[in-house]
Amino acid sequence: MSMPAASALRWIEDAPDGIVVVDGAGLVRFANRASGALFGCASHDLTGSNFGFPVAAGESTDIEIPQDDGGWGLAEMRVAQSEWAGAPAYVAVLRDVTPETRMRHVLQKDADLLASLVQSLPVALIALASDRSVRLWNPAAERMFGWRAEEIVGMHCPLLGSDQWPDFERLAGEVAAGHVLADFETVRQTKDGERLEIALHAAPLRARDGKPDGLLCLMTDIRERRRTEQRLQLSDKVFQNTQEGILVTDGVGNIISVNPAFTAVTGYLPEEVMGKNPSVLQSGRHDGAFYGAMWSELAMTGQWQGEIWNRRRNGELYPEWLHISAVRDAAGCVVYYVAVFSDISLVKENEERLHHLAHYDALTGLPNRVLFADRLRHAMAHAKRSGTGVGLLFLDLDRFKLVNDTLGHRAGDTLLQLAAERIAGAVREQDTVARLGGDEFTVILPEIASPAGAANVAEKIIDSLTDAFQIEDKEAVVGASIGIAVYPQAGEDVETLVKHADIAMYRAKEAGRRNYQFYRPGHEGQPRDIFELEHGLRRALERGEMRLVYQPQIEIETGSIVALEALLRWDHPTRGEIPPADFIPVAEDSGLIAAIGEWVLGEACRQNKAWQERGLAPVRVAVNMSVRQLRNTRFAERVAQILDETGLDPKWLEIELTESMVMQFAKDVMDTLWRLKSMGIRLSIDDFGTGYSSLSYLKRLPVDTLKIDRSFVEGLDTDANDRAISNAIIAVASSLNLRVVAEGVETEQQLGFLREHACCDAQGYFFSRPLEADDAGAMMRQRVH
Amino acid sequence: MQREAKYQLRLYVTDHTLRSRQALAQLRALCDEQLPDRYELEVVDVLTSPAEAKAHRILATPTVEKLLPHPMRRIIGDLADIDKVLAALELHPLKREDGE
Repeated sequence: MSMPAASALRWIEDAPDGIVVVDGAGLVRFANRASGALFGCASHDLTGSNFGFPVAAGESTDIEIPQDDGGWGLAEMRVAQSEWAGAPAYVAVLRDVTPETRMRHVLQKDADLLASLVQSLPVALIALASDRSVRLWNPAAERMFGWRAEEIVGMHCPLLGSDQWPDFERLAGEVAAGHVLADFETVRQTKDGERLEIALHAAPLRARDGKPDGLLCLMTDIRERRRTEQRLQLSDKVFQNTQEGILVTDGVGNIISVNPAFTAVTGYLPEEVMGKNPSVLQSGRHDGAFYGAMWSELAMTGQWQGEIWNRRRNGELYPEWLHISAVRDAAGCVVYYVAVFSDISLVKENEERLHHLAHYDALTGLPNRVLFADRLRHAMAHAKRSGTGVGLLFLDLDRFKLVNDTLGHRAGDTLLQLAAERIAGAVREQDTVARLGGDEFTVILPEIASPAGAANVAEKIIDSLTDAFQIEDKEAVVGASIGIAVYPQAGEDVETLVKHADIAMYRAKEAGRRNYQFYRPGHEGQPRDIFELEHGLRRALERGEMRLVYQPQIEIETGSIVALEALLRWDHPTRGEIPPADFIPVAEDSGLIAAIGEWVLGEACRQNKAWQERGLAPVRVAVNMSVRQLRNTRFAERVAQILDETGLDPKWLEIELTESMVMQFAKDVMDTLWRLKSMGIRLSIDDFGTGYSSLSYLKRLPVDTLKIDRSFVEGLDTDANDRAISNAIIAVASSLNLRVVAEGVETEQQLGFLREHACCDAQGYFFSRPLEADDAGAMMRQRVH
Repeated sequence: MQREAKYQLRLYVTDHTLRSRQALAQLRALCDEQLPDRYELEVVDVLTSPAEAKAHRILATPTVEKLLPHPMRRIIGDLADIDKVLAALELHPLKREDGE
């Protein structure tokens, strides 16, 4: 090997490129050091290996070299024809181009990435050249504006027509100068002429030398954003201006927003409640269970609504109608609570006013018929449970119609108001006074132990209404008639009890007004008959249908007749004999009582005088009078006149009044009674023991006789109680120096008891039934001692 | 008798790079044109089958190996020049023979 050949070989061996000599079969005959490095082994290990026949179509070709780490390198291969050891051979020169290729690869990948980004970007991306021709027009731009890239790239940008966008070049100049154009809003037209609201971002494109080379534009359709903004603006307007208070909290209940109406209702400024819990508004009116139920419903349904009491900043409590909704995120966690409420204190007030109107009488402020029925029902239910009673008083003002007619409706209204006050003042706190309408009032007496309690209240009410009412400059005197029905005896339901109290009230009116009556079974039929009876009564006197019968009173000690009680009989032409208890109330109510009373008085006096003139031993004639008659101030005068006309000595006339009537109207009739007394007329209290007598009154009355009620006398044989009462009455009479007459004596035993207890006189079937005048005369003749 | 001769070829590539796909396409076109229905072509990716590449001492890719008919021949590099490839692999295409 010549020196030049040896130095050439060294040069080859040390060459930076891999040099491989391959023979005709593709086997390696020589490999230099660099090629060993390329293939990852010693160069001599390559010798003899099957590299393959190297082919390169042009100047060079690239081959990949797998590496042990699983990667691969790249070499640029040049092939030259040569010879080795005399045989044709090929030289492959391999240059490691791995790093450059990698870089190029990365760049290519970046370019690919950018290209796909541009393609898939949802925003319109448009690149413009300096001459404003289109360089890039991505699919989003195609969709937005309607021009396809292939019809527009290289053409003048259609969005920039001078008529369309005169301002563009000025903006482009600013962008080129480095000014950032972001979110610039403008309106463009699509290929179809549709108006588009867009936001433009623009950045300069530069050539490699840094000089401006066009413009990159990003455009977004902002119509949706505009709509959202408008919606938000609208929502905000609603939030700001609604009359309903709105409070928004975060998911844990801290207040993050309130509206002006919230401030208007609660008095709290936003800054005073921000970050706080809505519990600052709590009124304390609701317990933990209330809020617990609210939260559990919110958790279950996401909603709650209801009425709730809260507290204003000034401490005032108010009711609000509250609606709370939970706002959840996509994961289902509550992120906000929105509370919308309206102050319903006015509604409440109206509601209460309505409730008041519906349940209270506007004139007097007393409960009305509706509330009355409700209260009565409650009282009855309660009484049923507790085993007590309920007293129901049905009250009607006497003479109210007269006041109304003579003084006017306004005076009538005033009277009703004053009467209501007096009635309300006369009852207990737990009692309910109601006005049913007109001059009808009711009083509910809950939990009364006995009917006597109800009678006490009735008396108090009657007393309270006795004094004259001062109405403007006039005085009006009214009274009250009260019917009493006691639950459960007089009715077990509201309707029945009210009906019975009403009936009893009519009964009280019939019994002479300014009194009370308990309901008794049998009262019902009467109101129906009243009209008919009244009609008949008017003619009874004229037609001579009235007559008197006489029942003797016997002095027990002597057996002689001391008096005859005149009893009125009405022989009704069609109904036969009608008992006085049935028609006297009607007579009283219709005013016929005065005429009837006078006839009775006159007839009794005339008859008594007639007997005396026939020579019979003089006896007293006892005439029953209604207190109503006595209240006529001219009554005494009238009696005197009758006595004068008949010529009867007043000492032979006795006037009988029932106990209950005397006691109720003692004050009213006191004068009249004394005048009668002064005339020498005797006074007798009938039915004694049945009313609620006041002994103090009894002493002040000019009474001569007490008549023991027949109900006590009846029981003398059997009832210790009746004996005790009778005994007591006799004792009272004795202490007051009064005569005592026992009514309804029917047996020897009864008479025996009375005699034993020093009762003066007796009357009853044991001695005689009531007799016609002639028969009475005959009896008197027989009994003459 | 030549018509019945079977050509068995194996192409070694690295990854499914553009070059690899190109090499495969070129080789297939060549075979379809010159050796229709008379060849079997196996493709071996040296990255996914490194053991096979090592066993056959493949130094670089793309490498085409003619396994049959003997003698076995390899070429490496650009497969674009059909004549060079045929010559280097010592393939005797039908057409050419027919034409002779």
